[in-house]
Amino acid sequence: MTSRLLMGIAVLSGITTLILYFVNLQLGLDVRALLVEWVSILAAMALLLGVINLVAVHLRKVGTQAKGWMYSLILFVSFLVVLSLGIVKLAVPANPIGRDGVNFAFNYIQAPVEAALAALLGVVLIVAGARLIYRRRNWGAVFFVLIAAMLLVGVAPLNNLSFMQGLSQWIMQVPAAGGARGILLGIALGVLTTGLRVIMGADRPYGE
Amino acid sequence: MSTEAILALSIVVLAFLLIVIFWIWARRSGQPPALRVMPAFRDLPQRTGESVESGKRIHVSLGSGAIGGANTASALAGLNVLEAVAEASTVSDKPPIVTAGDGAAMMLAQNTFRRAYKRQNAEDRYDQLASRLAGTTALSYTAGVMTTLKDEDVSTNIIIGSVGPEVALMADAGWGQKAHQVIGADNVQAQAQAYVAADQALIGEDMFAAGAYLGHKPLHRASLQAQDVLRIVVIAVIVLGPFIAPVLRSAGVIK
Repeated sequence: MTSRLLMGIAVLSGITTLILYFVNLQLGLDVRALLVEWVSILAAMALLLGVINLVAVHLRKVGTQAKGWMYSLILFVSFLVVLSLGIVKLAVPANPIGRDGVNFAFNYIQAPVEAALAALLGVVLIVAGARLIYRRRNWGAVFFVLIAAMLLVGVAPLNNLSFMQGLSQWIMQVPAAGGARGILLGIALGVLTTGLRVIMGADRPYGE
Repeated sequence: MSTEAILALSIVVLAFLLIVIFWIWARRSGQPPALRVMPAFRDLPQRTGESVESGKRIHVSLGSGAIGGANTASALAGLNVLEAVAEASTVSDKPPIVTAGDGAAMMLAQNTFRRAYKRQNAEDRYDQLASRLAGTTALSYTAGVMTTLKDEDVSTNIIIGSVGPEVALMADAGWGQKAHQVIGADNVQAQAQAYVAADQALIGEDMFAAGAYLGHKPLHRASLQAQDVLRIVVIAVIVLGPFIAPVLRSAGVIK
């Protein structure tokens, strides 16, 4: 019974939102705005539950001294510190510790760590390219790595290799762009049919 | 209504009608449609069985996209895979681990897990913390997944959802654990990385076919057939468009 009720609500919400997207009426815009507001509230609640889950996972790791529990402890302590700073910031807006502390944590700890991780991508990709040849010994893999190397040479600032620059530009603008658009069209069709399956009640990740 | 809106609505209605037609057709004929072999989905049950037997874990990543946004469909595709994996591994001492980058996706993963355990009458084995929020930004999520792969003795790493180029970092962490890796993404750059780094990459719209291949539900198969027909329609429009457009323009249908 509950499952059917949930499915009914989901299907009705889906159909209503879809129809209102195409119907340009004030009532429709108001209902859409209301639904979006509800989604925002639910997403905020879900995020809160997600954070509780994150803390619970790491506390369990610390409690059982599972592999990597020291990092979990660091995460938990960091969480408490940033949360305390955030509460101070909200409670006493004039307090510089709360005001600057949260900004410091984001600007001088999280942002540089994320930037460092992103910088690793280049190295990881070159290693992955080498592994591709090792793992898949076929013409497709060789062709992939050759084209990637050609594009890298093409974008390098080498004056005497202007023909390579032209070639790499042609590869990126014609076959690569065409292929990417084809893939994106396919993904769009996949998204469309997945959405319709939810509206038709075939995909019910929320149900019993 | 604008021409673009009419066109979009026509595509939605056409897709809906095709799904219904193929669904009725399959019900009447009693024969499921033949699907081409997709190695990633064909091998998944075997990989799941091997992980259960060897006492290792399967990791399913739903990507860093949020439910309710543009990446909802990708997360749902990941949940389809999770459902199949969870049902096949309820007997395992080490249940699969799911990571999500959004609270709502994490909750849906928990529900998918609980449902699978309930179907197998093994609710007492259900672990709520097997579904985890790994991080709320793309890179913090990546860092969370990399740590999970390293610490949880993962033998199969399945990434199906909304991920960007940072998927290469996750795949590298999986390679370090000698895990078998299946990667499908809704981002073109991530798909290129998947081709390079994964043992089995799901290119294009392949990842949205998970329900049809693993769940064997008639409506999923019907939607896959509808998707194939729509693809042919799109190709026909692209090829014939340059010839038809001047005619429609002279008739005043389009500007």
